[in-house]
Amino acid sequence: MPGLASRKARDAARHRRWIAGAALALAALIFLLWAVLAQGGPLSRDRTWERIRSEGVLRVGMDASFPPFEMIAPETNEIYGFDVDLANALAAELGVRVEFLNIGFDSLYDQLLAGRFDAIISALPVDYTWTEDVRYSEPYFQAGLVLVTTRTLASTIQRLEDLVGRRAAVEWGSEGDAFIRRLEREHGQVDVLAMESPAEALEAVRAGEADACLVDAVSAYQAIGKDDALTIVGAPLTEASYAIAVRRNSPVLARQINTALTRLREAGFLDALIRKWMMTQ
Amino acid sequence: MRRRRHVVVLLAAVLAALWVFGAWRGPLITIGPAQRVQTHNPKMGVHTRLTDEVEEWKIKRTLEMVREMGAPWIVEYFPWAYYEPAKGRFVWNHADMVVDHARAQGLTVIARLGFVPEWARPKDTTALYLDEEGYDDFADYVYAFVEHFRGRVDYIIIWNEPNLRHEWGNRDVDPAGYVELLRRAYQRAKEANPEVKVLAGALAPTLAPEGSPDGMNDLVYLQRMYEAGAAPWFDILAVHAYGWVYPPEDPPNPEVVNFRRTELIREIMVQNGDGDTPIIITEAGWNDHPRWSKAVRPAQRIAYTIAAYEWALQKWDWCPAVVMWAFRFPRPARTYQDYFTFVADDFYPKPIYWEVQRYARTGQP
Repeated sequence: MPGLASRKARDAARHRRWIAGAALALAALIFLLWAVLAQGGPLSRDRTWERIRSEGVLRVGMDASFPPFEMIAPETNEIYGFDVDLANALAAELGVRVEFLNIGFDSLYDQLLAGRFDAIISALPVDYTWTEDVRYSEPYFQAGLVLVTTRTLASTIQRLEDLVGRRAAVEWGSEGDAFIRRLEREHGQVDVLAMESPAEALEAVRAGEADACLVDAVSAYQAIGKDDALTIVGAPLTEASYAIAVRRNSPVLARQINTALTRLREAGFLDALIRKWMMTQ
Repeated sequence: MRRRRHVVVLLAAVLAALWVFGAWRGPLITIGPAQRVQTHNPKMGVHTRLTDEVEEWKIKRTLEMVREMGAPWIVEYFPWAYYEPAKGRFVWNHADMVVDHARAQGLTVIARLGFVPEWARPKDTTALYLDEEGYDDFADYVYAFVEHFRGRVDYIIIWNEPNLRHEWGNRDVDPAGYVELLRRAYQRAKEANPEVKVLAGALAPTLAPEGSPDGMNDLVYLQRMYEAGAAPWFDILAVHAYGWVYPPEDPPNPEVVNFRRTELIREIMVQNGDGDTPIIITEAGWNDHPRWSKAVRPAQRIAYTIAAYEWALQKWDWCPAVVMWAFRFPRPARTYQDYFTFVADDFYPKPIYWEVQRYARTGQP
């Protein structure tokens, strides 16, 4: 009967609208709960950031035994270095000042989570196994393995495989040493000079005893600062990103730090720190 | 209706096929033919950590790599709580796997025994807590272990670093208490196999001052052990001989923890009339973490490790083995500990592995 069929159709449509409305309401409720309760949600509170703003102090934990990033001046017992300058600059961007706490490297994460300070700025390599407990900033320095050669050879040595048949210096036992051994197994013979330190490996290149070397980026910058005949070629061979770590429940602080880092990077401040602490006598 | 029945029958057939295929799959890993370790230095050893390594192929591969490196000795941990989950009920499967693969690779196993199951200690105590009430239970485990592995494991270590508070269950350390534990374990071990060698210790090398809440100086603790009558209750003394930042040749000094502190331990043994008892170094080594205060450069780590093996070979006739900590961890520790290893968790050999292998093959430090 036509009338009965159209009533059934109207009832079915009304039922579907009711279901859709209920689903929408439930989704909205879930979103609201997440926004309020979840760490990092747009409505969640960041008590660390609130305290930093009210006290005007950012507490930074670092292990001041790692030049050139953080060191202690023997005459004054003051901490100084790349990370100290960075922390001070970030604090200025945030409109606060810094208090530094000198903590052993292996205890930095535990002490951060225990609330002894607000952020770790200590040449801290990003470790993804910690991301359930901490938030990392954008990296501010890449410390991984790099390939260094002379400007004269840079056109012919651009990547690791270009070392086959050439002379390569490494620090004996280092990550660079491991890379060269793998290169030999997979691609062919390399004349390897195993040196006692990255500085000696770089010196071997500078002196013409090796065509290239594999060293960490800090050692590379330091050598280039003394002799600009040396140059880094190709992309870093390993990733060792240094970043700032804050607690997981400090999402606003994390955002503020990233915004400040971006401003500093765009202003050339991070490059200036590299020049100051790694490339200048 | 008939279509639905066809679907059900088809699904059941697929599930049955999968089950049969899974059950029928035979063992993937075999023990393999017996191998021998080729080495210039028969005293070389490494501490493996296969206790928490689940997959048999990884156990076999680890032990193959130890043999290929040229080290005939391994120390491995056999936690009591893993193998006796309830009093009198033993589960040896994993331990059998480790021991049998090790023997097939021509390796000599030194088994460290410890780690107290919950049923053998009071509630809310750590797995390193064992008071005198539990000594006989531990001794029973020692008996069961030695008996089960008779003919396969000839060396056992009783406990670990009892001179440290946290290794003694967060209690004040007690040399006499440890000696009593050692006595009972020794006697039960010899009941199961008179030929088994029982190692006491090892003690942790420490400069803890007198009365320190953290533990007792190893030199002092050893003397107190002898005063408590320890001498008859061990065949070999286990020693930990970490080098920290010092080369292995650095002379022994009671105020310094270094490799040759072992010679001070030896002096105490000789002074107590125990000069015929050998020492096995069951943990030693250097670390090359870039940020740890007790680490050295990678080049130094290689040089010192090889020099330590060579020192024991040439100068310590009372020391049949030097076992370095640690060959490989099943998963990264994400701390400085990872920089003690010779092989990464993905089985990629570090340069130190190749250099130690070169030394084992050529005898050239």
